[in-house]
Amino acid sequence: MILPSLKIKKKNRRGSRSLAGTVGIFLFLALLGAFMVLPLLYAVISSLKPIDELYAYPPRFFVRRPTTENIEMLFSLAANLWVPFSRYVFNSVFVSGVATVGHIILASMCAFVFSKFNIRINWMFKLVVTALLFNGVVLSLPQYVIMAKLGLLNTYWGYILPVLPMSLGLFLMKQFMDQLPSALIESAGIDGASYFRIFTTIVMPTVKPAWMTLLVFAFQNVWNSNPGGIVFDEQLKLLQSAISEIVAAGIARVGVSMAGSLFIMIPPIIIFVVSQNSVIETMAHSGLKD
Amino acid sequence: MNKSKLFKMSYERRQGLVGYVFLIPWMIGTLIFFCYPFFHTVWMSFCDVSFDAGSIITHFKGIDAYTEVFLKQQFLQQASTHLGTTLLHTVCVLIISIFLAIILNQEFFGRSFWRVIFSLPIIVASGLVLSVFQKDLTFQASVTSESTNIFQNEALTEMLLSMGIGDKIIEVVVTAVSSVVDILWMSGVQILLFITGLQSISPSLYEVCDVEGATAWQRFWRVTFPLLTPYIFLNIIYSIIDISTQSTAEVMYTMRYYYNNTFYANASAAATGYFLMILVVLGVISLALSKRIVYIDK
Repeated sequence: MILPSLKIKKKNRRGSRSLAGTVGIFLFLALLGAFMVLPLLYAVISSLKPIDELYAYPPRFFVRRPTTENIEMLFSLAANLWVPFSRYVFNSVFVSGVATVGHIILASMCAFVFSKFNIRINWMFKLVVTALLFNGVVLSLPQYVIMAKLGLLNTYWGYILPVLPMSLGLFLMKQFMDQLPSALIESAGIDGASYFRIFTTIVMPTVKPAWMTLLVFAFQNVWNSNPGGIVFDEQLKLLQSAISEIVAAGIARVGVSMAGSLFIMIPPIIIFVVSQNSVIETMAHSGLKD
Repeated sequence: MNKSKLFKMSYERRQGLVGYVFLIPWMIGTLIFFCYPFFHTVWMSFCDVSFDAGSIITHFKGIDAYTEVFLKQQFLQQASTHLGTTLLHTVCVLIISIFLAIILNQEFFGRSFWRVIFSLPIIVASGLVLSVFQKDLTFQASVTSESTNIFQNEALTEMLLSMGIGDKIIEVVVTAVSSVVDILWMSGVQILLFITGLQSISPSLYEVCDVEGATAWQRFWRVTFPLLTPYIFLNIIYSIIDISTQSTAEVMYTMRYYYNNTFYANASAAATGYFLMILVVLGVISLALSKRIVYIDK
């Protein structure tokens, strides 16, 4: 039954837009998209510029004599670090991976309760939203003290644990789970599924677009953060801090820093493409007959 | 004994218990990493703060820090100005992100490519990448770079300059473009959330529209818009929080100034006061909107 109806829909959609409309959309997106791409383009071009062009006045947008010396310098500097560069990459990937997955799991479990359970602590959710309002900079001092007391300084946990209860994820997941029909959960409950089973086999698959989107935000958040002062051991430092050290070490390293920032953008972009490709049409209502 | 008691409990009781089990990990985390620091910060705002061997020593002092920050200095004015800007930007961000999300949700050639393009702000405008850009621009020193969009304009200006276009035309183009670009650069997350929202609308509703012969206009206002209201609400709250706590805002700059210069009481007072201001704004907005949200379920 589903297949033929989808076919009709697609046919109608395609038929309803003229060629001019498609071209119009394309032009419009290209116009706005140009401003999105410009900084990235600027970074790419700057990383290809030789030093005299980087410091030329008046500055030029395009490169005259492209060179790979910035990128080579980045890699040779990275190879000469006291701690092997791969160690930083591993640290960053490990910390971001564990923190992101943990955050999504904890946030979803909690959001499930706030959204679908009829218990008396739903006011706590408001507390969570208000947590988002508070300026993180000011909190860092007492946070540091409590981490010192818990012995989290100088460990991976110092990076990971504070990220797990980020409010943003809970907030997003709860808003998405509110859309989920309660009847779906009730019917599974009547059929004898445990809450854990309902959570893993019904709720999570249905809100997949939500956590796929959260994956992007959370990964991005952890990957780009460079919490200072939590870890002193060079072995445990993150890629961000390694690259900023490389960049800060020399004055004439604008090109290198551009190359470094491009390098650091690669994983979030990969995560983004993978996650958004899997956000396909979901049938949040497919389990129900109205 | 205990086990049999568990089975005798009512459905609601059991549900509640399981709920707590699901909540506990999160709650512990929030208590340790948010609640404690939060109340500590509020407490610090009423105190004289000093340090001794890795611990914070506080002596209660009263509301001195608040009168200092809010009455004697310009913080209140900065804060309210920024809240005004926040509301204005939120409205613009919402309009532009709904618009773009609807376009990006349609089927056309290269859709996933454009989605990546319009989500670039999420990836570019944070962390090291941003600081590298800003560092580069402060070096290039034409404008003091304070916000995400400046490097935008900078790049645009440079591009136009290198194309050999006159100064005056550049100025007009840049101001017109910069406000749109400004908004676009704040909309990355919102566009993504709206796309996810649009995906969750059941296609059968649109089939009904096609069968009944609804125009695209009717389809938007009668189906898409009402079903998007939860996401609009989500995005309003997200945008207000995001924009009001933008690290490039003057208010945030002042707070960081207090903090970095060890005026911890002042920093805490400023943060608490600003927090309360945003809270009031959000409270009013969510009260006004909460009854207009359409849930399929309820």
